[in-house]
Amino acid sequence: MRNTPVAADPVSLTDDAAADDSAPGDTGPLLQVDGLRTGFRSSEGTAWAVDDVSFQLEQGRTLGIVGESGSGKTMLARSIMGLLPRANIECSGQVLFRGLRLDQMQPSELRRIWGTEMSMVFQDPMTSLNPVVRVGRQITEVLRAHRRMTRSAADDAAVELMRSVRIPEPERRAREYPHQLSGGMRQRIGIAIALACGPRLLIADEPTTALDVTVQSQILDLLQQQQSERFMAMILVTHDLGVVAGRADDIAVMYAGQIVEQGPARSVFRTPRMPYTDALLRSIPRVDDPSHTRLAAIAGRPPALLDRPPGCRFAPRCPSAQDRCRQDAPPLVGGVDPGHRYRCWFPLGAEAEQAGPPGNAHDTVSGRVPMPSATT
Amino acid sequence: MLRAVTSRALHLLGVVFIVSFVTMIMVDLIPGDPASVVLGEGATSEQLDQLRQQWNLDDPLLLRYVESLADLVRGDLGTSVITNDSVLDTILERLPVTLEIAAIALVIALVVGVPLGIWTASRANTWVDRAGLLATSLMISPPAFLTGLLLAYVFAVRLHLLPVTGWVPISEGLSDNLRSALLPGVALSIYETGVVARVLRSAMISTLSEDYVFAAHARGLSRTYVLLRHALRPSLIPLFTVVGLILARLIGGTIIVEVLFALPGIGNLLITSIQSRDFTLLQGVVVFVALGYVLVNALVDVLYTVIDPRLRNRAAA
Repeated sequence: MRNTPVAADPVSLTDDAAADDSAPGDTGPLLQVDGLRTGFRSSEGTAWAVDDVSFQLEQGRTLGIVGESGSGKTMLARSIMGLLPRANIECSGQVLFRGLRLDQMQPSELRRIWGTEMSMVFQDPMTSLNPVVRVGRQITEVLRAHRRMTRSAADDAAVELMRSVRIPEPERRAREYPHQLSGGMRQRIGIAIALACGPRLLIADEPTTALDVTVQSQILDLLQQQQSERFMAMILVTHDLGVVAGRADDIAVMYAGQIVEQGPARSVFRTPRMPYTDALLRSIPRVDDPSHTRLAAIAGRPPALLDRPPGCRFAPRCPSAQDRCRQDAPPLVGGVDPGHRYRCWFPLGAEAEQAGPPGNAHDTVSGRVPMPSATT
Repeated sequence: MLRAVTSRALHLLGVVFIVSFVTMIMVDLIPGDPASVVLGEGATSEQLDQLRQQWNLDDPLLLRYVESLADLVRGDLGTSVITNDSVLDTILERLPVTLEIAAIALVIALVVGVPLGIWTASRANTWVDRAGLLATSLMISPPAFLTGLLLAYVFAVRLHLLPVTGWVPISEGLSDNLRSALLPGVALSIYETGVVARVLRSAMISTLSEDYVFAAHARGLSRTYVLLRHALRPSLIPLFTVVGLILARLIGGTIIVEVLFALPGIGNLLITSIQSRDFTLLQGVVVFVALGYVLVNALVDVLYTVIDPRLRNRAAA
């Protein structure tokens, strides 16, 4: 089954940092993912960590992928890049990047794309930088491997990159080891490495989760600024809707391996249709709540990989689940807003549009959603 | 840094005190009277008394210990009670033999063991890895005298490629010298090669699961580059620990191989000194080997900080 990808509607999406939708001469989406499934083979069958995910991403735009731990977002990011071990991993579906079928490429071919055309910023810069290699070298090695630069040219380029990610005294810092830098500085190095060869697509996998709250917004602002300066596309993977609020053009909410709601950020934030998205939005702490307000939490846990409910995967935790939800899996379908799609038999605030059962009144959070980042 | 050096020096002194004291007690506890061993069956009691007096054998153990310690501090290990030669000179004369076969063994262990460790780690859980594990367990299983005998039988007795026993000093020609050192060196190296390969393999396997190795792959760096540039160096710390132990073991522990191949090294010197009840020589050799042990391990500690910059501040503190 092939889903029509999220339509990039320029009218509804002009609120964010992205510049024009398409560069001159660039036609078609930069990245198109169709029916992507990734699973772990086990004796009890294949456990699908990513289950039938489709979306597309245009040059210069930002897609926020949001979900709890274990929802499959990191697996999705790695599947897109082809960064998964071949053993015991099953993959199907299409990943089309600039017309190239990444899912069919050999590791040796992918290696020419990794770090150059698409690169990744990792969650924890403490563990994703080599502790025994000077940070400058960790930038230059990418340049020397992919761009065949001489040592001195690469050194100069590294210092320039460090300057562009606002690392003070880049010449001195380049000779230091990761443990000598602060967490925020380390992540700036991680970003500099990812940007080194001028990628078209940057995948940031929880880039601020391991950082102090005080530097989180700095790093996110830096990513956003670099993205618009370089006209890159970005996939921002996070468990925190507050991180993508005001930064992503489109949002995809993942639950138990599936995209349960996707669409233009404004539409998803204003009128969440899927109760899960609604619950996620409610669980963002708000500054203007009275103090000692109990934080809204979603009861229960996501289903285990090999023990998913037959119907809607969120049904066991959903406050408004009906019998139908527990029996039939809802498809990803569109509503009124263009490009806004969700998996729900009884979408929130949809009484007027869709024939739902009588008395299906949901309390939506429409309108009380913080549009600017809630984590600043 | 000064504190680190001071604490190492104190550590060194402590080891010397303990080792020399324990050696003295052990030698003293060996049954029989050194004087009667030296003078033989027909010695008169006057002769024996005279010799005992000369060696201060009638003094209390503690007093003798303090006196020998005073000599030790001056760098004087005393003179052999049998040959009257300086103990230190005798040791230094034998040392090159032991060092040469130890060096040959270590070089072989590293040159074969390190690539084997890297290769098997990078192919963990494949047939390459399993074959490597089988090979290394075969290397560490037989004792050195067995491999030594087998090697001597095949290469010397059967194939006549190398001499069976004996030692040719470097002064009598390098190639003959190497020919006499090769078999004992190889015999010693087999066990150590297995140890090096296994230790490096397991260290590399754990390094290869680190985030930074995955991140390096994700940057499109080649497999070999990631393996050698990112994974090897952090894996060297356990290897260096083991190499320190190997080196120390080779300096003092070539006894069996030296006896087997009749080499005039430290190990053989130790055996002769025990057999001839030459207690000053015995003490000297033991203290010397212990010092070598401590020095090598101190050197390894310093090398850790070269490999891992994170240890530098800690070493200085």
